[in-house]
Amino acid sequence: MESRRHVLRFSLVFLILITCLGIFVVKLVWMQTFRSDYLTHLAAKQHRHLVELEPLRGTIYDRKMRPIAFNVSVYSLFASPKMMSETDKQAVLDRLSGILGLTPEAIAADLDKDKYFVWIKRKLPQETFEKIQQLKLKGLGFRKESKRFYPGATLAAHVLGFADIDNNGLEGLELYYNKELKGKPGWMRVMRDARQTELLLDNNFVPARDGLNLVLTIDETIQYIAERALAQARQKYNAKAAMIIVMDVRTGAILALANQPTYDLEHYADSGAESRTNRAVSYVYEPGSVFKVVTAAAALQEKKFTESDRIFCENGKYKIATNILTDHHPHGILSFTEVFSVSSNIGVAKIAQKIGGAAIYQYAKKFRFTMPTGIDLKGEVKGWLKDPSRWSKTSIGAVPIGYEVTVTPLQLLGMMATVANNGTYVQPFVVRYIQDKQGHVVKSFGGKVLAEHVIEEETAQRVKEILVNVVEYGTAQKAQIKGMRVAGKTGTARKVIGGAYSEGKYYSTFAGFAPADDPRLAAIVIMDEPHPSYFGGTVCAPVFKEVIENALKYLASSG
Amino acid sequence: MSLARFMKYTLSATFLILVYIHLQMQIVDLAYQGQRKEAQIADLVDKNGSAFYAISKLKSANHLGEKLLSENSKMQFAGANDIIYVAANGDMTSNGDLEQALSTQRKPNILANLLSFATQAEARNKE
Repeated sequence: MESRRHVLRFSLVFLILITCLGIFVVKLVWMQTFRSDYLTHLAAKQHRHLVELEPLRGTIYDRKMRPIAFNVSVYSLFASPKMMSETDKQAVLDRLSGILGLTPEAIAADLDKDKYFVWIKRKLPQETFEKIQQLKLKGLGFRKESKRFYPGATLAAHVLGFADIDNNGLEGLELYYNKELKGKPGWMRVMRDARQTELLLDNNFVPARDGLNLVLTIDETIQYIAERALAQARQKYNAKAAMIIVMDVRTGAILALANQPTYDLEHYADSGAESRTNRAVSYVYEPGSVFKVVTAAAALQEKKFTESDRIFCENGKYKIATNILTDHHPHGILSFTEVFSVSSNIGVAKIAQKIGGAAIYQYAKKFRFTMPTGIDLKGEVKGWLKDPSRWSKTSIGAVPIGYEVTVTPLQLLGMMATVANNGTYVQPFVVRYIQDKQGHVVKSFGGKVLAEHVIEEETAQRVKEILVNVVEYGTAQKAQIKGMRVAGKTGTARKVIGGAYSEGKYYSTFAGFAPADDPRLAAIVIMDEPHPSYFGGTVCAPVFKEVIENALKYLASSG
Repeated sequence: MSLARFMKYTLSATFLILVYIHLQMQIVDLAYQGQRKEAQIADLVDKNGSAFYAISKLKSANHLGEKLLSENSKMQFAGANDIIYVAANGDMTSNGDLEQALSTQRKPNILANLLSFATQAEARNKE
């Protein structure tokens, strides 16, 4: 009886063991055959990580290789709320809000998330990073990223544009050349142990390809001279907005381009669309008398007038169809040259009537109005001018004096530079070349001739003399520079507001070049609604003088 | 195979394995040391980047302009008449003394002085 009980007990234990073993075997077979892929993947996920290697965004240099936009490594702060106790969270709230300049509520909102990873603040300044690192707070970590810096702050803001927190170009050259600047990310496969410490085993990687560098035509010093003079003039004349472009006449290289109001590239989020607009290329306006250069060129090129021809300016009032054209000062008989010196609207309209609207239109097209210049900046617009077949009876008194036509400031400067270049239209550009990290030139730009013989060389010389006359004896005497002859033309155009020409709101312009005998620099200055003074010769010509005089001195001494 | 021979082979194999493991350990240790050095270099590069930014900001035209060209500043750009071109010679390169360089550059010569046209800057320098 006893031995039978033993056998039973033994059998029971044996059965239990066999059953357990059977369960384990079945489970193992199940895991090995049906769950194998899933579990292998899960294990690999815990130990193997694929890390993206961020490429370094290319540097932007001015024409003298001074860095004006570059990336520097900075640290971003993150937290792992799921791994933090309430005490840890409270310590973070108590000690971080002051350092980071964030409210405790904002940090608490992030820490309350049921996540393993949340950003607290990205791209910290070095001092802030060091302060937080010294606190050794639990549950916080840093991740290295690269941040775009603009040491000039507002300098050339409208040319450079800016890149966002993820290093994607959003405006200006940063956007236009984003593909070249951004580079290509790489990746690295790393193994980590159970404590997530990186192991130096089986690390495969493809290195990131850093972005290319841009070398600009912009000169930091000339840019500063232009920005400073423009800001002072805008303040003095209470203008709503202002802009200036300085160009190397021979090559089309833009040495400075500034807009007012401007914005700080390192705090671009604080700025409005108004201050970020690049008026030089993305903005059209009726230029007024500066456009008379086209009429002068057409009249001389078509041999319909000579400089000494005399024109009766109707003592200040002249009726064209239903419109009465006026001059600011009444004039009687003026020579062709004097008509442009004193900027007589009536004189120019009479010249235009003789040469015809078709010729004005043809020369406007030759000077590439209504066509984009092709400058390497985003958002260039092309302006507008009606075909002469659709002109009204009053158009012949409007278009030749710069109304019923819209242009960009850059197009006007292109016209002025073409006259300075004896009739050759050179394409303006802002990037001289693209180089790789080793300094090898990958692609170069510039010096592209868009049109030759826009006007004959002899005609260009004659137009130059007329423009010199404007500065020496006419409306632009404030553009005179001691020791050299300057050529240029003023413009004061009424603004269109609510579909009608306003009384008292003007666009003031001065465009010119110097030295007139061997042109080196051309520039245009525009003010939007300056007051109480509003004449181009009063508000814009002095800015031109200051900028060109200093820029020429600077170029003479530095090359 | 005799026991002595078996032991000899076993000990040899064990020794080789230990040497191999030791070498592997050394390699991994050196790799970790390299990683630490790399981190130190990266840290220095970061600090250098930060310093580079600070320097760039200080020497940017905007910053220098604000400091040097205030409303009442007498500073202005030098024109051609304000610049004296001096060919570098031994005297100048040794101590950088402009006066000395000018005196060696232009030997006093009454006739030459009477007929020469000095620039404004040179004239000011003589005063």
